[in-house]
Amino acid sequence: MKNLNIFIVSLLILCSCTTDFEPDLHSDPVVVINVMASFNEPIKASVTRSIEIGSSSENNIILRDAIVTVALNDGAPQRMLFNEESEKFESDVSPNMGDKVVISAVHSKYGKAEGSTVIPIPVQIDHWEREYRVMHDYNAIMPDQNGNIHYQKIINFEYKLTFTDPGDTENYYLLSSNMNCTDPILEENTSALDEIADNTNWFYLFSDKQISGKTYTLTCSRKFPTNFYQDHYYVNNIKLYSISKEYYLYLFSLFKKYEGFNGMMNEIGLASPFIIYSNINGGTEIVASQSWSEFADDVDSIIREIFNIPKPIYPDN
Amino acid sequence: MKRQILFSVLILISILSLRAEISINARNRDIHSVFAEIMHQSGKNFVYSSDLLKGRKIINLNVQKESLKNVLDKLFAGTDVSYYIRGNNILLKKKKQSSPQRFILNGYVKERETGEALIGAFVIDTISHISSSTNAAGFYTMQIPTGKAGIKVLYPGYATLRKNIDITRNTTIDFTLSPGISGDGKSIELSEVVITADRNHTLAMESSDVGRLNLTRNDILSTPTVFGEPDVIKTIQLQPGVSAGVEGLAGMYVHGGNHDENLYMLDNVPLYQVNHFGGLFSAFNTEAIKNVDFYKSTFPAKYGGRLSSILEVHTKDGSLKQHHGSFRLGLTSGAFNIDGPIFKDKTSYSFAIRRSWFDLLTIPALAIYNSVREDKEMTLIAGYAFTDINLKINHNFSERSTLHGMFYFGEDYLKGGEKEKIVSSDIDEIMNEKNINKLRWGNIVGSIGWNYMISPTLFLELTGAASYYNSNINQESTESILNTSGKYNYSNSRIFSIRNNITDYLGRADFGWNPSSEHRIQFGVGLTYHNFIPQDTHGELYDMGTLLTITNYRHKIQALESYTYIGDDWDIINTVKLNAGVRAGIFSANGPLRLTIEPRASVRWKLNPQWTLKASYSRMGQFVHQLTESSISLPTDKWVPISGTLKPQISDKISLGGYFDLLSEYTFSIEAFYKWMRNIVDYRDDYFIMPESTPWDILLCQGSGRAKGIDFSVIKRMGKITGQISYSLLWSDRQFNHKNGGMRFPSAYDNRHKINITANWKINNRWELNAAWTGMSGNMITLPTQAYEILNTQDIPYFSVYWDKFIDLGTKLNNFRLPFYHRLDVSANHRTKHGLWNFSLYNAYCNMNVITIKREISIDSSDHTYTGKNQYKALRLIPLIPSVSYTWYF
Repeated sequence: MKNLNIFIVSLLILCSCTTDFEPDLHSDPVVVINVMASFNEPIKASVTRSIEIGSSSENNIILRDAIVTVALNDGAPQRMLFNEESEKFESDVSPNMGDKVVISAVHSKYGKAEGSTVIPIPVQIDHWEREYRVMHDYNAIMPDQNGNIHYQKIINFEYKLTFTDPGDTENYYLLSSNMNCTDPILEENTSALDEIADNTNWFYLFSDKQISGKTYTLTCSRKFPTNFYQDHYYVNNIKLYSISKEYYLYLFSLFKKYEGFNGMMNEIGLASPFIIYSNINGGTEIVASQSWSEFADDVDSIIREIFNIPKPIYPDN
Repeated sequence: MKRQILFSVLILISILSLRAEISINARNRDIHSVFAEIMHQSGKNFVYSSDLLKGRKIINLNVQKESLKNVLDKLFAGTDVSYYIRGNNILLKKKKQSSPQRFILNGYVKERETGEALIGAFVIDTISHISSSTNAAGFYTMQIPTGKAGIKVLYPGYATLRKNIDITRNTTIDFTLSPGISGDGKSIELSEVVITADRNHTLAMESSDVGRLNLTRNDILSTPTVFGEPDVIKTIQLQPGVSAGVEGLAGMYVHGGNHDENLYMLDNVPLYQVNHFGGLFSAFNTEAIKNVDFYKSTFPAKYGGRLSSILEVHTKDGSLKQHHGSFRLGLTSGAFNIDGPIFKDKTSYSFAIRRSWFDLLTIPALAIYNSVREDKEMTLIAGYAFTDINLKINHNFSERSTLHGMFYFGEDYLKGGEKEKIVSSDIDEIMNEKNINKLRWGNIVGSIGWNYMISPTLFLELTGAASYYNSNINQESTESILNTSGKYNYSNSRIFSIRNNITDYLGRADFGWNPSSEHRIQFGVGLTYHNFIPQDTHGELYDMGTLLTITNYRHKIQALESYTYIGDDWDIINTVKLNAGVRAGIFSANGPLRLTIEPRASVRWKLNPQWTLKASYSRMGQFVHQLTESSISLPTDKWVPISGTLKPQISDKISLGGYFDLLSEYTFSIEAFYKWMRNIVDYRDDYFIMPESTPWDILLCQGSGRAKGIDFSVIKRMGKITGQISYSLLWSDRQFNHKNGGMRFPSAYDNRHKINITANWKINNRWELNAAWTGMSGNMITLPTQAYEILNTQDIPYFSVYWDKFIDLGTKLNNFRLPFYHRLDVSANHRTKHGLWNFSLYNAYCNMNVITIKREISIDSSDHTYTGKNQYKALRLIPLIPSVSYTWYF
């Protein structure tokens, strides 16, 4: 589809141009809270403010002088302190699974903003299976001294990964991987048009709508050509995040606005105006939470054996 | 006995008195002195009202020895005075006016050369001032008083026909008109002053319609357009009260309405997809058009189903006399048109085909590109084409009965992708890789109609039709490696398709009944079966040539829509005309039965031959709507019916109009309107975070809208230079509970001021210059004013937005008006012996207008300190585009 997109966009570009524009629009900044709370990790908050688009002044957006608090399970709020090094407000509060976390920020100029989240329960990858196949790589031609063409080899790894949805509550997932995964549940939020617009994702958002309380097996794959970076150390990995509903909606709205079909229309300025989801009252952005389980398969030795490549002295991956 | 004797004597005296001989020789004498002499000679008195004899003071009378009755008969002959003799008195009274007998005058108005019916021609009796206009079959009927009639037949672009006739019984006369100005290069009659009818002037001054427009093919041909492609919608975009939407596209936003609130009808059949190339061209091939009616304020009861406007396109029937046609070649498309008799004076055909030929340019360009690129095995595929075909066959069984069939096919086709094939004999393998996307969208319509004159005053139009709208996107992605024995070493392929389509079957019966000269009644019924398939997706995944997974999703909704209507165009008195009617619509889909009752009324008051005032009220209902997530027309847009809890969209509109005719050369009009809209449909603010499988009626919300404004225009209709200046003032807004926080916001096409100037200069018999200037307040867009830093963690998925780390803060909807839009288009037509050259310049002074603004935040960042620059970028579209086309007539 990319060629088609290029074709359409090229037509527009052929008869269009962009110029700088200075609309006479002014508005007041709002407090921006960014929090990603995770199970058993101290909570940190980035508290900044929005900036006026088109303003030509220098903008230091960090609200160092804000009063930022964290509260667990509707308990007493605890003041978070600003760390100059990380430029975040930090606390020693580490939430447990199922804890409700409330973050509040008050600033003398920009007002009060507050958001909350509940730490989700991580879902483990129960079982996995691996298969691999060696094939010719038709994109990699290597002529020999006699002028004969030889095709290099390629290895295709394929995995079956099984996990079980808890089924007790609504669960939301984010699958992040360095592999390409194809499965119907991974496409539940991809509209048919998104499917056409771009079908190569390296992350997948999905809910337990289709698999609530069930054990499910995902399929993922990854190809390695001969001319891979020989100094790298190769591991196929998957992170299965359990994420809060707010974070799911936040990522979903980002995807809808900037990726897929609407992303294409947004790029040329002709999409409907989408507002990115926020759970911050009085401000914007997100107080999100996540837990995860991780799967990693060391395939470095397999690749090197098949391609007959010695191990690097300093593996970096 | 005494009483009987007395009665007989009185009668005898009366008879004798009537028989009394009177002699008077009066020349230029005062009537009172004549009365005195009659009284003296007859012995009777005159009794009368003093104002009865006003203006009859002097008379001439010469009688010799004649009876009183004869004298009185002669005295009052030819006057409106009657007399009665009662005893000794002669009573004088004004005669009662007896209505003269009326007879029916009916027939067809046709073009002289081709015998084609002319739709909407006016037939006027200049003596009784009774008028009629021809219907879709070219038929007129009127009842006019017995005696002499001065018939005038008017049709735009044709010389006015005048004929004096004696009406002594019901009469059928067919009128044939000759073109006064021809757009086809033939029969050009150009003089200093070309006297041709202007139907729009007649509509403005005579009809009760507010905001009605009639266009002929010549009107469309004389409007300069992009790529020189004549286009009916582009012509209508130049009318006051009509916004074009995004530049260059065939959008139509009438009086603050939405793009899906216009009913486009092709020979009585609704069309869903009316654009080619994303709206750059409309689906109506001008070569196939005979006549177009456009309604934007008052709507006859016959029409319904959309809130804002009705555009009815009538296609050519074809000549009953001889074959002729044309072939046009332009920069973007070619068109061929031929029509003529199948059986002379009985059966005619008209065929038109138009096809773009961008792909003819891209085929050699791609071939060159593919041959010179380094990767010889790879072939790039790309192409676009649109096609439309119109076919119409008309058969006249008799003067009373006509049958016609119509076929329309319109399609856009877009493809892109690449394919690669590598044959490796040394390792006995063949590698194939293919990634191709194909899009097709368009309409197919077939209809059959029968027009029958049931009686001289009752006319029937029966229509049956089937239409199919389809949008189909196919993606095929294949990678395979086969060995020489044909077995897969490796294979992975994916086929994916998305379709949305609508199939309609409709039948309608429309009657026109003129029970008297004052009433023209229209009534009818219609029934449509809709089969909506808003989403039909199909996916197949193959591994090693084996079907791995297959996914199918199909959403289907069947709906039944019916309506009935009645309306009367009533000449209350000579100066006052009322058009009143009502339309009832019933719609049944998933959900409760929906009913709309739509009253319509318009009144015209002709103050004098120069001034006309009008007022109207119209209620319109709409049962289907189009879902679109972009500000341009895309093949992926879906038409869906109201279903579930959604209610029909309703608009109520009042309009006032004033029209002034100056020296029969200029028509001034001012029309004001106020429109309330209820249950209008739009996406909720949060629709895009709802799961993909959410039913569409949950994604939508219903709200209200308002639009008000004034349209002003002055039209110069005669002379070598003709044209129009128009100005529109508009306010339009919306309010939804689930949009913009429930607050009212301006609609996207709330173009506050709009000015259009069009001019047509007929220099001589060969050359004609056309110009059209448009200036208007920009469209409203949602422009973010603040941006904020995005959540930044190492685990967050990658989005393209992370290039700038900032995202837009939500703001009020349509908070910014784009800069003033203005553009001049000019064209020149040069007629040759057999053809017509058209040279045109779109956007002649190359003002690249802003069509949208986007944020491009390229912020210099260092430790969360951001130095902002001017970050808004205006996208400007369409520079000067010259074009040329040639049309050969045969």
